[in-house]
Amino acid sequence: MKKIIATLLCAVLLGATLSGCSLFEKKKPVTLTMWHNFGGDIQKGMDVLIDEFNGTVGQKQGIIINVTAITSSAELQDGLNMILNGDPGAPAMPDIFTSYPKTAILFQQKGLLANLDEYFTAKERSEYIPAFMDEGRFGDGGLYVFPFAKSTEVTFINSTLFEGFSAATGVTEACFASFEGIADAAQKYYEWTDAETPDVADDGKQFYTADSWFNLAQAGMLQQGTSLFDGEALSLDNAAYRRIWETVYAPSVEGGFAVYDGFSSDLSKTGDIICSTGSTAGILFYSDKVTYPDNTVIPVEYSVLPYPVFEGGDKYAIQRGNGLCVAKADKVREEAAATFLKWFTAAEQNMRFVGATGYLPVTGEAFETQLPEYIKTVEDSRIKMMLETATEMYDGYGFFVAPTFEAFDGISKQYESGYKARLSSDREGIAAGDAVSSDSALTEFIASQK
Amino acid sequence: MIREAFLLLRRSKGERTTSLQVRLFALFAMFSVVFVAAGFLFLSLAGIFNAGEHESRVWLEAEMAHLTNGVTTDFSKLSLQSVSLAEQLVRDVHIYAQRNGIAEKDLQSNPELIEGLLSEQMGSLLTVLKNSQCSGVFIILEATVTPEAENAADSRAGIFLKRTETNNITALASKIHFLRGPANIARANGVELLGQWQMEFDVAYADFFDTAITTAKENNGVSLSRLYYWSGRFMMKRNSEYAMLLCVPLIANDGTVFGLCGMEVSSMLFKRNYSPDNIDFPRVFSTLSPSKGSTIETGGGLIAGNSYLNNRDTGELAEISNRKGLYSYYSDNGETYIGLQGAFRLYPAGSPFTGDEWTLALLMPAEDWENAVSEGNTVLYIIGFAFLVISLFAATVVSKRYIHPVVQALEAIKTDDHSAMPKTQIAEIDDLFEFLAKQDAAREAAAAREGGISAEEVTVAPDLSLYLGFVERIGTLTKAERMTFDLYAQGFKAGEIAERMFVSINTIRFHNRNIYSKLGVSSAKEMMVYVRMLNDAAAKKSG
Repeated sequence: MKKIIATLLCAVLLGATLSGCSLFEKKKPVTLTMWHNFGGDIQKGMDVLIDEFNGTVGQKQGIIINVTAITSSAELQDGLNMILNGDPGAPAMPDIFTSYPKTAILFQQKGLLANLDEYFTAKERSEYIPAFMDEGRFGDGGLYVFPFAKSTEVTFINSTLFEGFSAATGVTEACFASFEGIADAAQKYYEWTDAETPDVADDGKQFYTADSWFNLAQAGMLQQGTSLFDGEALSLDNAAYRRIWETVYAPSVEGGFAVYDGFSSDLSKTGDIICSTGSTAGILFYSDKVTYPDNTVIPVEYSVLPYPVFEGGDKYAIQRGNGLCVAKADKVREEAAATFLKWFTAAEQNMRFVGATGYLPVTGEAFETQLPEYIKTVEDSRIKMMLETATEMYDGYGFFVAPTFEAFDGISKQYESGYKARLSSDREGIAAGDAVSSDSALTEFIASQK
Repeated sequence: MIREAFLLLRRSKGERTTSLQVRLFALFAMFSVVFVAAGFLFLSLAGIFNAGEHESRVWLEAEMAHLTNGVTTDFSKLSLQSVSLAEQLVRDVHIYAQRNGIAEKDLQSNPELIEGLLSEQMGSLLTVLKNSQCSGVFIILEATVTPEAENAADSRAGIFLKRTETNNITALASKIHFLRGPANIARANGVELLGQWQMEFDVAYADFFDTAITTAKENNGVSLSRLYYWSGRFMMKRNSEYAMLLCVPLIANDGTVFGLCGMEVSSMLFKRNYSPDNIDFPRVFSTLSPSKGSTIETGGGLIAGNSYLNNRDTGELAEISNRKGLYSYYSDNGETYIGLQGAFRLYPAGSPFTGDEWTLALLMPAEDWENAVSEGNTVLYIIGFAFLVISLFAATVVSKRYIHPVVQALEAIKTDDHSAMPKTQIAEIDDLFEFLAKQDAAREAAAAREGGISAEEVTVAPDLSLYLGFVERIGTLTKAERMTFDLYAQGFKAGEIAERMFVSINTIRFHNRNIYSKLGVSSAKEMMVYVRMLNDAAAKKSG
């Protein structure tokens, strides 16, 4: 009898305690701050997904994703660098943020990132495209950048403007197959547009620009069977790099290539270029209108072609796109962040994100099984065109990822700014009648990068 | 134990008697219940059950005061800075116009001068943007660079500089973008175009423009510090973010309203600056919204809090109750919210917009509030319930232990040999046994003296037929019972019999009950009458 009473008593107390505990659990959801770079035209797609998570899985499991910053990836990286350096006025580190591996590795080395391997089973990890997962693994082999928005680089062409030029000069779309072809077309375009106003000298227009000259150099070296890196240093003093330099230098200083401190889509909006190479994810930033300085607006159409290859080279393009990093915290917060990542990158959500933003899916199922069918249903013609080109490239191109080492971010920034500065100053030199030879410019540039 | 108690209780009801143990258990249980009830009454009188609500309310009031102070200070400062910017721009535009030989009212007739004019304002706009807690700054002229264009009636030249990363708003490195304005000006100043860039403003969808310009024209002579206007929540065409725009008209010396300038407070900036502390209430949010009577139009204002409340709760909040300043609102999406609110003054006295009602509110889902209010109480209820259960258990155990020796003693009284009763450690019972044993001894002594049967024995003397039945039933006794009976017959007391048989006194009592039952007697005394008769018969037979 006493045993029965004791058991009854324990059951009552346990029940009361558990009901008390469950009340507390329900009342204290985990709030995770998030920074991402999906603003502008692609913000809505991201907003809808995060809202949906907060209203379904998040509500059920007590997780709230609180977005506290939406800005360009460059600004996001600036903010992250401020945190990393402990700059005065630096914001608090978010729980989840989008980042390129080159920035993420700096956080990882300071022990500020969670190793996401701990929150995904081997089976779950195997569902993601291995190359995308590998890009987020650093030194100790842990997974620190989780893939969710991948892209490659393609060629964007303002078909409306190009058709006029093509009809007048006979230059065809075949020129976009190689960098040499683009350089040649750029020279012809400059001369053709310059000739339109014979009374104004040297007012030809620019034809092409690259969103990242550093990525172009990396891809160009691989296309020629070598690498831009020798260990953790740049390898520029060789024939392969000389070829890249010579292909780009002449049209850049003579006016056929634009050297611009912003995205190529900016120049496209005002009809200042005909084509550019950049991330597939940039597709929505190309407007369907060109606005000229006198506020004349004309509707335009774009076409998307595979990334150019140096003549005779192998087909290589960069695999880029940032991933999601999770700040190191207690297990509860890390687990909550991992729950969001799993939900967000599950095939269903991943495909919706792809359709709204122009990024590439990250799971094998989404990429191989769902994407081909999904492309047929995409309403935005720009995204549809980009996805078709991207899948074509994934069949015929080799892809590389930028190496990840501590000095990489600094090296890439120094190269990009130094390269643009050199080309801009030499262009100004030519305008002022003070031309420099390509050879001596290269020698000085190589010296400046050491 | 409980089952036994119930059985006893049931039986006792039928027999109209109640066992001592049940009575004692009921007494203890009553004390427990009264004690717990008194405890709850005390806690209730002391206001402990309202502590959750009190604490939550104190928190809300403190947060609301902080919010009101912050929004009042910041919005007032922005209003003043915008007025100051307008004065600066009016001066600069006047100088530009004079330099080019025109008046401000002639701008539309000279569209070729517009880009130059705007270009010269970049310095002022950048300075204000970098030194203000705003997410954007703009100037819009009552003119377009393409007056002959089809959409000229709705197209307005101007510049909109925007800061997208509000987390770095205080940092010098904060990057600025061009949302509207001539691309050449942006590039000349090293400012990137946003993805949503367009050269001119389309005012067909911008009520704020018409409202600010028209009101300025209708209130000629009113100072700029009274003419600024805060738009409701608004998203510029092709933009991706909601914002409130602060608009100040640009009025030339001759009274011509030639445009407006102002600042933007984006939804992200509002969220960054005015999100309430969410440690205790994760879903609490603040809102600055237009209001009409008892309805807050959150769709026309900005919201700051966790998650994307801006997208979800953009309808109306209708007041459903006001309990001592604690408001309940019912929203379009079916949720009920609870919190504090107050009318918010956006405009100074004398402003043509003073009729616009704005409300600043701090709200949370009613469910969260109720959980917080009942959180402490739930713990108290659990503790109270657990205490009651433990008390009842203790009452059961204690009553059983306490009554046990009393029941035993009462059983023992039924036996003849009161001197053999063990000590119970209860003084009154031990006294009683002592008293009964003394009485027994006195009675036996008297009987012995008289050499015959005592008066009591006489009263119980049976007739012959009963005696013969008694003798006959002796044969039904078991071996142990017979041995016990024989020792009684030889004059031994119960205690002595237990010692001789090497058994406990309880075993002897057990035998006694069986012997009485089998021999058809009701007590030891009666049995001893028959024994004496048996002994007498045996003596006669042998004699």
